[in-house]
Amino acid sequence: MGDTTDIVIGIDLGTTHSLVAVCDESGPRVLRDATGEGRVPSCLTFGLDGKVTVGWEARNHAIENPTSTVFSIKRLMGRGFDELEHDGELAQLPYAVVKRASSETGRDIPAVRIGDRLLTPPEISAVILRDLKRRAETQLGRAVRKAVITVPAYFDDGQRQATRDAGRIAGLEVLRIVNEPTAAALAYGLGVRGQIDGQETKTQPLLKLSGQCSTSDCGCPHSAHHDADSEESTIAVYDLGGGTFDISILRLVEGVFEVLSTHGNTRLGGDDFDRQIIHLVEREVKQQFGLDIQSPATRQALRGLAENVKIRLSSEPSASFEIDLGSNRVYRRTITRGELEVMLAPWIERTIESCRHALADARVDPSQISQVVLVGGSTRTPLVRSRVEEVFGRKPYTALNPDEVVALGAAVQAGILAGTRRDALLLDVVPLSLGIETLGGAMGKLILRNTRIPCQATERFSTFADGQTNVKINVLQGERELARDCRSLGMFELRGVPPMPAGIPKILVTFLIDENGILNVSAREERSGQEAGIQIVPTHGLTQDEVKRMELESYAHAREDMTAHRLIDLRNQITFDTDKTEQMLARVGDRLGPGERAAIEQAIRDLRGKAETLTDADALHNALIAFDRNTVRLAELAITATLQETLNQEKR
Amino acid sequence: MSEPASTPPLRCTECENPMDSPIACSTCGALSQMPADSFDSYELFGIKREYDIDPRALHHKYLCLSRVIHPDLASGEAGQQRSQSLNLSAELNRAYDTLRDPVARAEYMLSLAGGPKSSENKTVPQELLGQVLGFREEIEDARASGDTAALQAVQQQLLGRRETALTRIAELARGLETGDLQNRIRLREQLNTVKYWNNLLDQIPPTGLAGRRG
Repeated sequence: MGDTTDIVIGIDLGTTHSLVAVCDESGPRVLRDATGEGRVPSCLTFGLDGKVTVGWEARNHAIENPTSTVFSIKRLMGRGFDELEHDGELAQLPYAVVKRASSETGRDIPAVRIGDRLLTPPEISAVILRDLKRRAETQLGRAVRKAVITVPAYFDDGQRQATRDAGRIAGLEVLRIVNEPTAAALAYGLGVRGQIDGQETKTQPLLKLSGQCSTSDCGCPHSAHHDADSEESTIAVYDLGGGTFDISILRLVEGVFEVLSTHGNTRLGGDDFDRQIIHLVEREVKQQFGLDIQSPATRQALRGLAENVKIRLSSEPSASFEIDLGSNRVYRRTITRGELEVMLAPWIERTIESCRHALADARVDPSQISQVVLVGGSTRTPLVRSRVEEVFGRKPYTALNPDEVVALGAAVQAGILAGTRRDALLLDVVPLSLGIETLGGAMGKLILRNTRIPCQATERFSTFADGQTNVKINVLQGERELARDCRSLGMFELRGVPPMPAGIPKILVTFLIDENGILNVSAREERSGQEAGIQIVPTHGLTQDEVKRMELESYAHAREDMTAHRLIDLRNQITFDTDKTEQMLARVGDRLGPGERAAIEQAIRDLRGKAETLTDADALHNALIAFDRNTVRLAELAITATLQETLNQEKR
Repeated sequence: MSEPASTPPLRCTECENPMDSPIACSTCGALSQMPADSFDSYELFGIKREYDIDPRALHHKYLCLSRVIHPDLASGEAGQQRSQSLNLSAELNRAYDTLRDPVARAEYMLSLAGGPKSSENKTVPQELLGQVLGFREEIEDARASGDTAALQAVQQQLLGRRETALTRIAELARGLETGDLQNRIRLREQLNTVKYWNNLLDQIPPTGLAGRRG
């Protein structure tokens, strides 16, 4: 086995940073660069030659390439151009976002314009995912095709689909979409090797995760969770990242991570904190110097400055900076922590409001919460910590690096799906109610928020006109009473309804929300029992065909842009390995059977041939791995021979 | 845990061991086929068809069955069992929510006893509608003036009303065994009533207070 079982990576696809982690026998670990940094800025820049650069380098050149450097794309995922414009989201961005033309009515998808290319948010995210995939492949020395990707718990169906589409475009099979706070709980609950106060901790649960059958004779064969005492614990995960906020209340019992409720805001995070500082500077520069500093380049520069000031104020009482505006004009400013906190307070209060909703939905009192876990870089803000402590009446728990804990949890879930660990199970909920538009434009709820997933609801539909063969259903997600105030997930069109008088056909539609929180719809005409055809036009998402086409396009680009150097690396490695094998054959080949020796000689010729002809790096990589496996015995013989020679020399 | 339902013990078609739930075999992990409509919620958890249940035992059983049928653990190597495991998990979650919530449980027992359904009988005690209107006004006034103390006072009153209705529901649900039609109609009225209290409670913004729905 070994190489034939696919490895599954865990990816935290964040608004400002992304990480990739894997899980093996020793537990989950983040894959880092040579400097030990695990985070990759979720930032990419397109050079004039069409080459794409991802991560720190892209971020460092944001000011030089202001309109072709894309960041915070997660805030655009699965959303419509009109709503983004309405919310003022687009005005903040130095890069251009346009409405993508679509032949179908009712669709509204944004796209980033880079030169003459239009790229949808899933395509941009796919570039980041592909970079993480490559990092994993380089470090693990094998091809990676499967991943678990995390999303904010409060992401709706459209945003989840967009994330899964991004994975597909990047050439990854997305085995599971996991909610970020749930992943964090998994990392905390299952024990990962972490750094606490500079000391390496043992692999043991950081949270009390225990439990025993409450009944002695339960007939339950799963002994893994029959140890320890029968306590269960209820925890709150407060996750404030770069662009999104989630609060989840979980019960940890018998090795099961049971989400009781979740609430959040997919447009609230550290980005918004930075923007407060940016707005302050823009306002004051305008007042003092009459200057508008809103060019794309200054916006990129201000973003870096604001983030830096914010981070300094987490540890210092005040932060000073100056901006040279040219012509001997210098804007100087000292911002105190108190001043920043006044600006941040309204945002933080919104997160506290979400906490109250989540507690109420979980039917849990703050005093019943045994641990509050902080996740996400923005929870380093002192005001966040003190407010959370006030509301929950206990000091929050921060043993694991808040930037890395979600990726670690994603890797643990990847391990569960890959079968390397069966000791845990996540039971999650759907964050927003799901329903359909009813007559008069009301939202008819079919599945209530915080229902455990997988879950399903069925609804009967019929026709309004004689001989009608199509029925359209507008599927909605949200808590508001009117359809227009909820998010439209798409128009579901039932086709091939047998022509009958109005109201006679009875079509049973099943809405199934799967373990990823993603909606699956099927329909059956009850009279005939036939599966009815159903066509889905996602309002803000991509169709299956579009995803397929983008995957091929991106595949082509990926080959050009990025795979070239991987092919070169592989060919060098093949030259090295085949030469070495020839030397070993010359030395100890006589110890092999004649058939064995001929097979290896043939394998050397084959692999060299492939290195010259193959342009598919994955295939070449696999060929190299197979070759190395087939020469293991020869390598062992060579080592034995070397050992014997050494021993003989010592004897003399 | 309560004794299993009085039907003859089921045996797994794969490993022939007795099954403690018709939904899957917890010995060998074999998943059952989904029935045409749905499983009996009580049979699914192997507990007696009674209003009073042990919530901890129910929860434990729910977790054990989840470990057998949840798609993360039961989809199989190439995901070939995914669709079956998805449907069964959705069914398990439905049954668990039905039995866990006292109102849903009473509603389910009433439907097993032959109804009436909420669509067939919408009656409520005569004085209820006047009270509901009064509470609604109080909530709207308190919300408009941002008076959280007043809101909490209304919330406390509503929680009391709902508690009374829940006590009545429990008494009537325990009496369902007699098959008495009048008893069923009275249960229907109380179930209709509690919906009004829940709707009103939903209009009060959360304050961090616990136990909104018991």
